[in-house]
Amino acid sequence: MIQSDYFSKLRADFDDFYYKNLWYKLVTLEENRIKHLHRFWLLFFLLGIALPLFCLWAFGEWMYLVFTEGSSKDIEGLLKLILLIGAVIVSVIGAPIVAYHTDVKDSIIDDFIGFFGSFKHYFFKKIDDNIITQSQLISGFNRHSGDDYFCGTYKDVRMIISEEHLSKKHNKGESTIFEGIIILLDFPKKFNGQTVVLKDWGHFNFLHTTEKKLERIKLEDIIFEKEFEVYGTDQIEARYLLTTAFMERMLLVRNAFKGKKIQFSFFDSKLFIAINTSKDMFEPASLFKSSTDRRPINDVLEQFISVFSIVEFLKLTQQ
Amino acid sequence: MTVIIFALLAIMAVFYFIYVSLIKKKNKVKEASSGIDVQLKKRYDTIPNLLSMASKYMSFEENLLKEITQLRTQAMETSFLKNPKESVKLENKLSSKLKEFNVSVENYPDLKSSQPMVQAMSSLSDVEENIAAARRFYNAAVNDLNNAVEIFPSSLIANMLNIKQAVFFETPENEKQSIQAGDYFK
Repeated sequence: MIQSDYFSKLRADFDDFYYKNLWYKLVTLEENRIKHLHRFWLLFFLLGIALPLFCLWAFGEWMYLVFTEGSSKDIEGLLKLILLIGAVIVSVIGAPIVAYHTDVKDSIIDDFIGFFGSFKHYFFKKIDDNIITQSQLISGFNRHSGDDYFCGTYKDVRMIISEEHLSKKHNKGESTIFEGIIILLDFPKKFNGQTVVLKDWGHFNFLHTTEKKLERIKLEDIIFEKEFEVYGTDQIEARYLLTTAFMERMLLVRNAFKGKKIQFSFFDSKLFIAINTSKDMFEPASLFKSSTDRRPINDVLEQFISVFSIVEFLKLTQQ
Repeated sequence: MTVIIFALLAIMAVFYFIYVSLIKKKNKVKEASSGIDVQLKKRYDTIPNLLSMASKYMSFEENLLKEITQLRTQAMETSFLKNPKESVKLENKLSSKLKEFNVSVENYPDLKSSQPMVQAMSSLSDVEENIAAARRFYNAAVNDLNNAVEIFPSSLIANMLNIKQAVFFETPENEKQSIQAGDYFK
């Protein structure tokens, strides 16, 4: 949890905001939740019985193939069929959960983020592939999907907050390259080149690869250098962006996201921040808890606070 | 015999790598020096515009404006790349006068709030930030070179090649001191 006087006050103010703007909407969603919950259990029991039966049939079929024909040629096809049917069953069972989450988001998420600034929420929108590639923080992906996407301003700072999943599909399946939040915001200084701030890998820093040829930039802050490795197109510009005060503020952000990989890229007068969270974010409801349960709401509040703390810690509103 | 040849080759390889590294460090200092010159040039370009706007309002600060103009002319004649010591001396003087100028502007609210002045002050402050960045780059390059020139075995090769330590771009003592808020309330 981010600790600061500003955010403590914000948390206290949120209680009022919650009861004035969100609570009554959540109350009306309770009936809807119960309907979705009943559907979920019904599907769970029906398909829960169907799935083991299907597995038994599949196992019998496999035994037959191995012992009667002595060939395992068709086993791969059978396994693919099992996986496909399994995936269909899981998505059918999960459908009421997704539907309820969508209902809740539809009715409260715009108000929720309105507590912080002027934002618009979009489902499944994503940051352009070219921007992600340009950042030089994430590369080698050929599949890209977005979940929650917020676009707007926080204290006059224009920004996009997007939950993204980037992966690479290859012969043996699919591997995740990035799963987390991408924040793209207007940086208050003008610059022409690119500066990339990557996580320090100690003795393995030589493995850092960037598409463009970027020069290593050695900065004087020892603690900062221990946490990050900086590369850029221009030595002077990198130092113009990463002043000693700004490096200290970036360390505050790093500490606030301890345990998560956070990397920065400055290009096109914008700051691109990639935070690996490896979990589904901004879900203000759970099908299995009352719609007015505060825990999921508080979780989302903390997630927003961590995002906006970056703007506060970096003092981007004051420049 | 083979051992001797291998040993000689190894010594030559080490010598070569140290030589390359020293030359790279020396060139980095040169690159950083020209970086400073580029940023200082930007400062010289900003000053006349600033002074011409100020002269209309700040007739009482005529001496200060003249001093800044003179220092700018002197500083423009010196190149940091060619004469770092002299350039640093002049730049520090000019910086201190520009700070005085900033303080004086506070006494002229009309001037301070005029849009062209706000823009000019903002570009000057941007240029100052760039100069600070260039100075940091230069000092980092100098630090690398000086370490190599002082530490054995590269010190031997530096000596043979007549590569000398470079001068740091020092900030004036009054800029290094931290501000004591209490002093302003005595």
